[in-house]
Amino acid sequence: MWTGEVVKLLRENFICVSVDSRSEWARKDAVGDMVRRTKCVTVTANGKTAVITPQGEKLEECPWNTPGVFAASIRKALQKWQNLPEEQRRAGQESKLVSGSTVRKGPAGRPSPPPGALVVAVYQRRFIRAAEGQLRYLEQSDCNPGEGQHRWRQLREAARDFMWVPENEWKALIPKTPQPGQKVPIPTTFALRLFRFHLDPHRGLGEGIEFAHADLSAGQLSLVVESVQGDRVLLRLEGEAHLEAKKPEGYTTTYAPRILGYIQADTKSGRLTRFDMLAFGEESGTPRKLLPGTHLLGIVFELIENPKESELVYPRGARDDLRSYLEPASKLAQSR
Amino acid sequence: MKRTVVWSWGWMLLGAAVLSARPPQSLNADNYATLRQQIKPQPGESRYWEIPWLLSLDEALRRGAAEGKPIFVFSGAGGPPHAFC
Repeated sequence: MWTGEVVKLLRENFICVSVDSRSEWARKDAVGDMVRRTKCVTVTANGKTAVITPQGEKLEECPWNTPGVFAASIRKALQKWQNLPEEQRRAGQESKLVSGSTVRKGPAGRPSPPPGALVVAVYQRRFIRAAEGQLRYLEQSDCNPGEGQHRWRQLREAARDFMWVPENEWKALIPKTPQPGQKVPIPTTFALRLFRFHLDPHRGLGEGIEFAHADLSAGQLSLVVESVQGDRVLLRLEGEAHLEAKKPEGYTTTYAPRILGYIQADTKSGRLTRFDMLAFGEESGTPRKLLPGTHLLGIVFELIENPKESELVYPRGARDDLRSYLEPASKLAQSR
Repeated sequence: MKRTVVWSWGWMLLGAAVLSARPPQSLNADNYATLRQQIKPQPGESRYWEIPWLLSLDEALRRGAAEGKPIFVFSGAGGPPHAFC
């Protein structure tokens, strides 16, 4: 649906916003009144796209998941906009719904990255073993009947999420006087956040979190200074995880990746200049049984130095409980 | 030894080609970069990420009025859908 034509139309002619409908619907202000009056956001579990004017009048609904209709509906919305009187369309105005200090900068009622936190892009993709142990991207025929057949294209693509690493945590990864071979302790909050929220086969498939109950025993991580050149220190992160979730439906989802990553910092400025990781290993019991058997799941982590606004969206793991995401507690420690 | 990634638009369309000459099932420093490249979005995938989404409806209304543009609202019940769908 998001064809080159659609992307071009939207980039050139519209202000585009991506929102959580529940937060917008619950607002007790003029924008909330407009949202409920126009129903410009979804009221069901499905996503929705609609076009409104800056003064809060709905121009068109654009059924984004209906092939062939989406682009036409966007063009129709644009035509309706262009047919409005010039005084309603001209630039340099204010919206009567928002003004000055009342303008919310972030998502309504939802978390933003803590000051100083790293924003890390997360991408993940499945691979199928081809003949002689080689790998390929998945095909429609690899997927189970039903939802797997409907969503195979989505399953094939890279899914996205974001990881936030609080400032105190990433600073703890950089030794003050690094020496090659030096072992650096990894904060338990980092390991728990990784195991619980970011080695998750559910990303790209829906909102579920597979391994929310994982503890430190789910894996091991080590961080070693690989090289020191002047003020530049390079560290190598290695490890593995063995994650498992028994599903009420009677099957078990497992993911057992090896983990490798590199962290580079400038010890003089205290800046972190590289933070990337890769988790790669076997997944079985794909959430909602979309794929049969076992296959390989790879997850890439990559530092975003200057995130765009669209990249400041909260990680899925932070959506419902920011504190449990940023400061995950070990159940093992609590039980001692 | 560096592995060669066979990559082209035709490959994307046919989709059945093999990704690497040897199975990179044991992650190591040699296949780290290749695997990362294969996992990340490829040309033509997830094109909605090419759109400069705002996350604030207020900010979208303000900018729409200032720039004289209509507002395209993409909404999801579980979060901003450009990230969660």
